[in-house]
Amino acid sequence: MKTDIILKDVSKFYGKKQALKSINLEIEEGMFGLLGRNGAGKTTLMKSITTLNSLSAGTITVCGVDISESSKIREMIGYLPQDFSMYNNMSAYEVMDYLGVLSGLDKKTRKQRIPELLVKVNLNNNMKTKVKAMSGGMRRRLGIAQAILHNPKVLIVDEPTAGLDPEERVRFRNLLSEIAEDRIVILSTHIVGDIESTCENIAVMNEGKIIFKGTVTELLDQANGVIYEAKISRAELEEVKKRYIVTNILMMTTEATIRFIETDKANIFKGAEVTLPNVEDAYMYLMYRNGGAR
Amino acid sequence: MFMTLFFKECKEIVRSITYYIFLACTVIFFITQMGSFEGVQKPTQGQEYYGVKYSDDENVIMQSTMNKLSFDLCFNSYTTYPIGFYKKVKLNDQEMSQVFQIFEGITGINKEQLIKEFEKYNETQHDLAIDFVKVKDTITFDKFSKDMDKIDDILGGGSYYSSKRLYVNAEVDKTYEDALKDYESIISNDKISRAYARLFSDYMGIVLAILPIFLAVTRALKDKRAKGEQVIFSKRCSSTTIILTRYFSIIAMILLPLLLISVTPTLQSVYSANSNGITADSFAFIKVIFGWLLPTVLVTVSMGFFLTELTNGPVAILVQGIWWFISISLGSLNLIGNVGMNLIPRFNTLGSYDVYNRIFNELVINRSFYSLTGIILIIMTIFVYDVKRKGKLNFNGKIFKNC
Repeated sequence: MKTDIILKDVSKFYGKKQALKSINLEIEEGMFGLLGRNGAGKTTLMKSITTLNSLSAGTITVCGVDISESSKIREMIGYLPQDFSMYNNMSAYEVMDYLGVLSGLDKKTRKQRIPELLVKVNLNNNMKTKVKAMSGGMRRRLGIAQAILHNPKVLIVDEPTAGLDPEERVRFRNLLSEIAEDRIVILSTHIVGDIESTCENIAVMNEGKIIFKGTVTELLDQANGVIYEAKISRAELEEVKKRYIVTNILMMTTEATIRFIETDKANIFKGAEVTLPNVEDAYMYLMYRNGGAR
Repeated sequence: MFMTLFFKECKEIVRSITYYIFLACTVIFFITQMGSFEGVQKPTQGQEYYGVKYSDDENVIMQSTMNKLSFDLCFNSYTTYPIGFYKKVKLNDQEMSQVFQIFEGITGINKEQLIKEFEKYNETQHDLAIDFVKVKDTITFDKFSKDMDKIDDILGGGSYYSSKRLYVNAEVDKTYEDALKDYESIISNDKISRAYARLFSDYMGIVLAILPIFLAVTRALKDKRAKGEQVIFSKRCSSTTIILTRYFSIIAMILLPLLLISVTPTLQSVYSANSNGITADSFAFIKVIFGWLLPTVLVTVSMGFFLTELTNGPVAILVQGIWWFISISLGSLNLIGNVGMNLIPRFNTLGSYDVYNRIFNELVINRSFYSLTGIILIIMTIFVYDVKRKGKLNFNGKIFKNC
């Protein structure tokens, strides 16, 4: 059976508001990044694939199975929602055991898999720690462990690094990359850095539409020649911000190093040099082309 | 999977503070209401008091009703329960004269005479009995009942003058023979334990019609409060299994302490039966727990699950609270053998097998109805839960709120 997810003309309305607008997408094995602003429709899309949302139009198939067959889909998917937690009085092991039963795992499998996975997510010393005593990072790691407990073909993680400290974020991204070796992992985020370091294939969403799909390199290519870097005085900064889309500012004592977007070379001021785009620049350029970056 | 999940749910209930509050309330209620059972003893000749009963003698009913009416007329104050709730009624002059007219028709005493007699009675009050009001010999019970219904209409209904409730006015002392008859009935028909089990059901029915709602609502809201709802939704387990394991675990954890509590009255009944030379029905309490109390628990927990899943809020507590209050109020009109379609059937007496025998079919219909309602509500809960898992019926989503 082919491991892929195919979305065809997927639309979703909440009352009069259209959250998804004719989405067409193919996702194959490996890490897949879904990038977009808050409110772009990422969570709605994730939940639609996970059968937690009904579609207003279109079809989604996961490994050849239509999402209307929800019980089959749920067997194949592991899901970590945006703000995962569980009952406060349960320990890490108990959470895994409870959700393992809900995933249909027998006692023997649970007994074998749970300690393995808790080691994998670095919670082996916290098996008896209650959920209420866990940090945000520990809860996310527990979340990822429960999501792969039944060894799903597809893992969907929604904004997994929001609120984590830098160290936890790096650890979490590495963990996802490991997991993605033999399955589809969809990472939905508004943090460009998460995608940059983990995903080869990405899609960018804006206002319910897919405005880019391809590789990170292709995204970067689109921004080639339009990203500039310049050193300016602090006094000039406000004026520059008014004229250009500034993607980065590095403040120093008397001056600032800025990166900005400009498509017309004639508008470039003296001292600004074209530079290679990073993913953040490319993302900002994409957003700028599709309705303007904020 | 079902049984594993069931036991895990039971374990979760045992860890919840709500459950311990439930246990404490149930045990305290049981002890305060039923802690003074002293067994059944054969009455002896010459006892000072044998208890009271409602007379079925029509003359006694008519006379005692007229005595009550004379009091109420003089004070122009009437107690009614129009829709089950207590209400004090005061009549206007026109209504008063209508009631006086009926009163005069039955007793031959007019307004002035009654007031005068009452003044005399108050001055020389040495006995609660009124001896100046007498029902005319020519008044038949049928005519009397019709007249009383007219008074009940004037009062707005639900009074003690309704022909259906006239017997309540005729409370008389039991004789030795009455007491002996009751004793023999408890011994031969109820084997003591069955009579005691009915009293147990009456009391426990009151708490079980309200307390389980807290367990149900707390459980149904737990996933959302713990932010675990979406993860649980995404799991393979069917909605039927999820809801039913939760449902049955709550039912089991309610029945378990109830069965344990019933051990004491069972032993008391067995001891009392032995003292009277008979063998008690040792399973009487188990029978009423499953036959009488379980339907109340089923429907209360189902109601809690259904409304909570439907609304994502604790509105079920309010609904059940109102339902409970109405049931209690309606039940208070007659505490012995008051069944109808009331959620809380009342049988607040030890004995009265003849009344129980009379209402038995009504009770079976009542309990079957609530069992069925409980089953229907839990099936509807499974449906609602399944629909919610598919992203429908989500009234609390961020997008829906912005619409």
